[in-house]
Amino acid sequence: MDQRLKNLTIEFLDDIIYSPNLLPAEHKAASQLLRLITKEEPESSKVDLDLLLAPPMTPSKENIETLSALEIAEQMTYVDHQIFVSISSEEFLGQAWMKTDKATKAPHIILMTKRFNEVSQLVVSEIVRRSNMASRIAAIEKWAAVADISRCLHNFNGVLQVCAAFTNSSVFRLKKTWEKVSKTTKQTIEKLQNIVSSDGRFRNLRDALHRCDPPCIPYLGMYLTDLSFIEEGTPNFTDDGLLNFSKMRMIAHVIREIRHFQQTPYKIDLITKVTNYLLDPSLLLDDDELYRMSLEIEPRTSRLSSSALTQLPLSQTPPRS
Amino acid sequence: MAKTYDYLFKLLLIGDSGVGKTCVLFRFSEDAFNTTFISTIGIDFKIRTIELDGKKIKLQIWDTAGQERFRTITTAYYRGAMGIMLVYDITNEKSFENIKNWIRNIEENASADVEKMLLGNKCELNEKRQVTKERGEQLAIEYGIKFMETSAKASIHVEEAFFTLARDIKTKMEKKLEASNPPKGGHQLKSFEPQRKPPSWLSRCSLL
Repeated sequence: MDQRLKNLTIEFLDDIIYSPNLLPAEHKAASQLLRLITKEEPESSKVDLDLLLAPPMTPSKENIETLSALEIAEQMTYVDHQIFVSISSEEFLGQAWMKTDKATKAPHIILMTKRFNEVSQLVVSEIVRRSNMASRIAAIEKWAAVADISRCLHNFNGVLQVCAAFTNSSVFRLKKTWEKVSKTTKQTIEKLQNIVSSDGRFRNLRDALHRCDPPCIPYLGMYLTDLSFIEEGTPNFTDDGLLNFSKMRMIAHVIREIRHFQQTPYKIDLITKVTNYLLDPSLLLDDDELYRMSLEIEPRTSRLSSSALTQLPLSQTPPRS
Repeated sequence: MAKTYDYLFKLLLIGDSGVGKTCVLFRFSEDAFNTTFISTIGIDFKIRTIELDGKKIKLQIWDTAGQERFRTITTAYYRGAMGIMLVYDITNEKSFENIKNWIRNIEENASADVEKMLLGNKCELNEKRQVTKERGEQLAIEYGIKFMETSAKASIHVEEAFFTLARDIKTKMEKKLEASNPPKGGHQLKSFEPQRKPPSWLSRCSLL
């Protein structure tokens, strides 16, 4: 927190409270704000993120067969929520996460993104690494279950992490594998993809977020796009050189919504055995490796046209409502 | 009732975060937000209608501003896209190197005949330049696509870039139309003189 800014604000509010020329309502508003701002921040039992996210000392002995979908979903939610609540509002200002000094200006947004991509990569790796068709299908079904539980936990970030893995080209192109995935699982995936679809600026996801009771983890990327558009599409100052309050209000509106979701914690306990699995870097294969393995599992058909690709493997038609 | 446009093209802006895509978009589109942001939630794209050879072309331009680092940009986003602007920042070497990753992403997700164009943005910052114009040109030649250096900030070549891409899509589309219904009478399409020699169709279709 910027201490100087805080002191200036307190001074300003004091001025209002003691100014005889203002309305009682204005005095009241100022003292309410003053009470809020001077309230001691409770020494929160903040988790040490570095410690939480440190890769396990020894490679994890667990895998998706030994862990339950519920355990995986809950621990994914636990980890991501810890990162999510540690993002401070300042990180959202001035597109800090896109600037060269992002590591210092927006460290937790960067962490959230990094973790997002790592989980997606883990899911892709766990599917593509299995050269046996049956275990590959089992992996897809397991992760679909994880995503569906994540939805129930209101962890929409988790839903998208898994859905992004399913649409990753190394997984998406495995036509023969997808054909064998059960109909129920395919329907579940379709339903989940519909929730996190980017259509209409994440229309469905926004609806789901506005309807759900916290705790919840939204997909941060959606808000980052909103903020980018506000920042780039609106000037900071009006033509008369005045601060563009309307813009600041729009930014505040977005940040307030994020903060709202940061307030309520999950009642999930850390299970190191599971997070060690989720955080084990040795389980991640890089993109080139993944694509090569994907081609090995199901070689490219000689005339694979783009039209053939788009028909597979999930139905692209809008779901029935 | 008469249509307000003859063609509708879906265009995407692709490239690393911070290269100025959104700035390019706002520079070009007709309805830069100002105070109407909240009411524009729900619309995925910005619009600008241009006129080319007497045809009204409505350009629908999509941008994933701010979330480039999340690796979620997938098939759904690319679906139906007819043109893609690949944008890098001339003051940022990494954004240039990443163009080939973006191209791979496009090859995996977009339709094979999508028109592409390469833009080196922020060319007003010449003193901070890390990527020479020649390297941009060279990369474009390698991929058989057109190239321009732009400045969204100083409004340099942004219009030209979109017009060029739109024209290439239109030409390709009309060629296809013509192939499917042979022209009647003496109707002839004008041939356009692009600034750079277009690559042969063969080289572009080599993936098939």
